[in-house]
Amino acid sequence: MRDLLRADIRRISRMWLIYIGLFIAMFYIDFKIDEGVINNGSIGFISGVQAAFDGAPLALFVVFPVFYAVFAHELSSKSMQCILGHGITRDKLIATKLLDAAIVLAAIYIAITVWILYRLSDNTSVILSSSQKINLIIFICLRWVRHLGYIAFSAMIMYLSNFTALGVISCLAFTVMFKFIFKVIEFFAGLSIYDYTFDGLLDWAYTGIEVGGFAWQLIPAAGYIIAALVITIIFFRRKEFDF
Amino acid sequence: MGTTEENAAIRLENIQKSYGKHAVLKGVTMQVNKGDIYGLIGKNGAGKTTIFKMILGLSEFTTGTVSICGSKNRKELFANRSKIGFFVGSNFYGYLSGKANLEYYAAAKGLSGRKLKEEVNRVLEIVGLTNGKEKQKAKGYSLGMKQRLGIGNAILGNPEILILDEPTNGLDPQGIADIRHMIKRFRDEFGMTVIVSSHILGELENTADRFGIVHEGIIAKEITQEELSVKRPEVELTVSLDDVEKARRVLSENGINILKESKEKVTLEDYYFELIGGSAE
Repeated sequence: MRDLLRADIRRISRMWLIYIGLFIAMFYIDFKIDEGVINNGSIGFISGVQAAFDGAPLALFVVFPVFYAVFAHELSSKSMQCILGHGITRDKLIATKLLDAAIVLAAIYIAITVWILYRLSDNTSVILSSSQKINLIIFICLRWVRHLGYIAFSAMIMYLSNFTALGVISCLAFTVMFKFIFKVIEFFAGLSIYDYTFDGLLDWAYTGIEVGGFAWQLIPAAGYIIAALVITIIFFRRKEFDF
Repeated sequence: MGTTEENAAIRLENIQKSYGKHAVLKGVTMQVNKGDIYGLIGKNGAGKTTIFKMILGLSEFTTGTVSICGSKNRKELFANRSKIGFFVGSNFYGYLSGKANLEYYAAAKGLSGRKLKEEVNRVLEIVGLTNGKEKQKAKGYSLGMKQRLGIGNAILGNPEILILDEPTNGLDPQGIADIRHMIKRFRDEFGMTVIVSSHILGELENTADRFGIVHEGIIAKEITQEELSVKRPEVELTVSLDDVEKARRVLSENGINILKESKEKVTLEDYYFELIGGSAE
């Protein structure tokens, strides 16, 4: 499993799409920070970062390239058959792929965080307290969880449907449409179910942390990711592979 | 070497596989001995690829047992699968070069650093993907190069057992000859046990030592190269004339001796169709 993980990370690191996505994401964050600072000074810096992470564009620049790099060629390349045929179990294969995504996404997030902190230190007009800085980093970490969740859900759909394009479409839909769809349902049907969704729980978790409470919402949110992983593994155990 | 459990590289006992009500394998029992080149032959849809899937764990069988290198239980079976290298068609990342693809699979098999580089270069040399070909993106490879890359992937790490599913599919005669040569080399030079499938019988006739004839989901017959050659000792006289007797008489009357007659032994193809019925036409 460790060998596969190492091989996968090396393979994924050759995908230019990830670097292009990262570059655009940094540019976008930069734009949002500048916009925030011009309007609201130090607080504007935080709201600028949050606005950048809240919007669909950043998810698109980061989540989609990671999903594409990790999963898009899995079915077409038939590499899974090769790996499984060499004796790795199916459970480990799926777990490795999700770990791939988690690591690559984390690497991108670290790069983005470093860039934000650099911008913070570079901008003499912005002064944040240490608790504000910590909250900002927690906010970014929770976004990492959210985006990892999107990838896990999309991967589940891809493996269940055995159709790469459906996984990619799901990934785009999750990143761009998730919140919007539930808000529309809430508006027209009066059903307030967004709070119980993966996104909604993470929103509440951050609010809880901000006010110094225990973010219990992280537990059911993690449950969503684990459920997606378990469903994928159960399905994958019975999967028939073609050459 | 006799056919005993001790010298079995792969052993299948009464493997059955059904998709719903459709039985694909109806009780396959076969043994591939260590050091053999085993030819698995049968028409398209006979069940050759399904047998490979069972061995490789890519499809669960309904009943029966699979043993690899003497594995006694599921755990050993999983562990011993690492002793198998296999080619099942084009299984590579198109956006990576041929070399990068091999590096990926070599790393996944646990190789790293200098060992990885040396092994990849060794394999590229064996399959003939050198002189810049290894640096081209795999998606741009010709069919022959793709087959070579796939075989290269299969032999990474010098596995004990090599499974090749229709490795000559779609290749030109030169490509087929090259693959045949490689198969013999893998056994003779690297000591691998090779199982190779084909629906083109002539391809395997001079390559394999033993043949398993798959027909309608079972191994209809296993036969060795020697058994095949004595199966029908009678020979056929072939002359390039339309009237043989008249030709002989005329030749004899004129004091001309027949200096050369072509004698053909029974081919694998003849034997196959005799066993299952039908003809090459």
